[in-house]
Amino acid sequence: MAKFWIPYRTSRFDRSGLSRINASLSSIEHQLRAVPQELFSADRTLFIPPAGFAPAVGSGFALENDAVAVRTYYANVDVLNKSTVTSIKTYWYRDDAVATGACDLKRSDFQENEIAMATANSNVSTGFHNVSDTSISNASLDYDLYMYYIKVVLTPNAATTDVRFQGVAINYTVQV
Amino acid sequence: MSNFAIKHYLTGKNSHNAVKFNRTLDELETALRYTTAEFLDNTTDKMIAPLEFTRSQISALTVTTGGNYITVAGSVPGPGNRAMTAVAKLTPPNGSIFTKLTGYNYFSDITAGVSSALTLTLHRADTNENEDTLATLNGTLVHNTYTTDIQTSISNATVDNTIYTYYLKLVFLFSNPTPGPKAVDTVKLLGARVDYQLRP
Repeated sequence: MAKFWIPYRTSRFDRSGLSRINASLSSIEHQLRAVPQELFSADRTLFIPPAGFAPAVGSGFALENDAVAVRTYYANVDVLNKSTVTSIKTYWYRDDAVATGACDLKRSDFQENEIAMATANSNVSTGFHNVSDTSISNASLDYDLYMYYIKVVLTPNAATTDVRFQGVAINYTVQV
Repeated sequence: MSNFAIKHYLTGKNSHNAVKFNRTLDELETALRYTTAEFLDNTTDKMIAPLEFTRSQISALTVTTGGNYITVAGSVPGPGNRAMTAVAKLTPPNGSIFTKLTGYNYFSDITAGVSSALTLTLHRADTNENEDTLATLNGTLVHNTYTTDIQTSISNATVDNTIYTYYLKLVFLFSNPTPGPKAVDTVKLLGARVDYQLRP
């Protein structure tokens, strides 16, 4: 974005010029009020709900297996190119110590070379909990070279309700 | 951001107010940089991940979508053909101009006598189901090779969201000219990219 020219005009303190500036600023203010407040910050969050995962199973508020077997789910991660991921936070329900829930933020090039950038697995078996990972490898996103996605693997033990997934928040900083 | 107070500063004529005025303008500029980061460069692109393609027609072939590919498995009758079609929606800003379509694929020729094809097409359609093909990209299939294909010839390239919807169509097609069913080759789409230029 080019620098504003308004400061230089104000040095003259010309009243008609000031009126025009005021009108312009009022217009800018009016338009900016329509912009979501979170966009005024470089720090943003993308939240992927259970319904965003393929194949989506379970209710709208939780990802849950259709059988007592290992199931894998994927969701696309689409944020502004060149952003930097700062952390991920996953939300779980688990009531069986043998059941497992795993979640990775993945990066792949177009020749299927895949790495895990962050991992936040279910880690308790006493109900609802959340898990964060702030140690992100290759945190700077480059959509020219890679694709990004979330991989969730649910492995129940005795019942499909043993382990459930309520979503993942990806925190990132926009490059400006 | 709190309310702008710039207009109040402008009523004064002393240097103190001028300093505050400049500082507020700096804050305003910073806010605009955050809100308009996507548009600082008027050329941009949209990566369509394999996950964004949804099967649009029933097919006897089994579709597998990993995090970084979409592929099919099964057999093709002989003599005969078998296809699987998937689509991914596009939401380019109104008035922008499509400039390039890119496809990434992998191919492994595992069955003698079966010919394979992968086609990506960019489409628009109105609400009367009138569909136009804006660009066609035939995947280059080389045994055990990852390939990138590019198409820059795009018709009706200017986006008009008031009339049309836009989408990508992916077709896997297998042909078997000899008698007896045969397993399909391994063909994977690893993603597609649509480049477009924003309206100034």
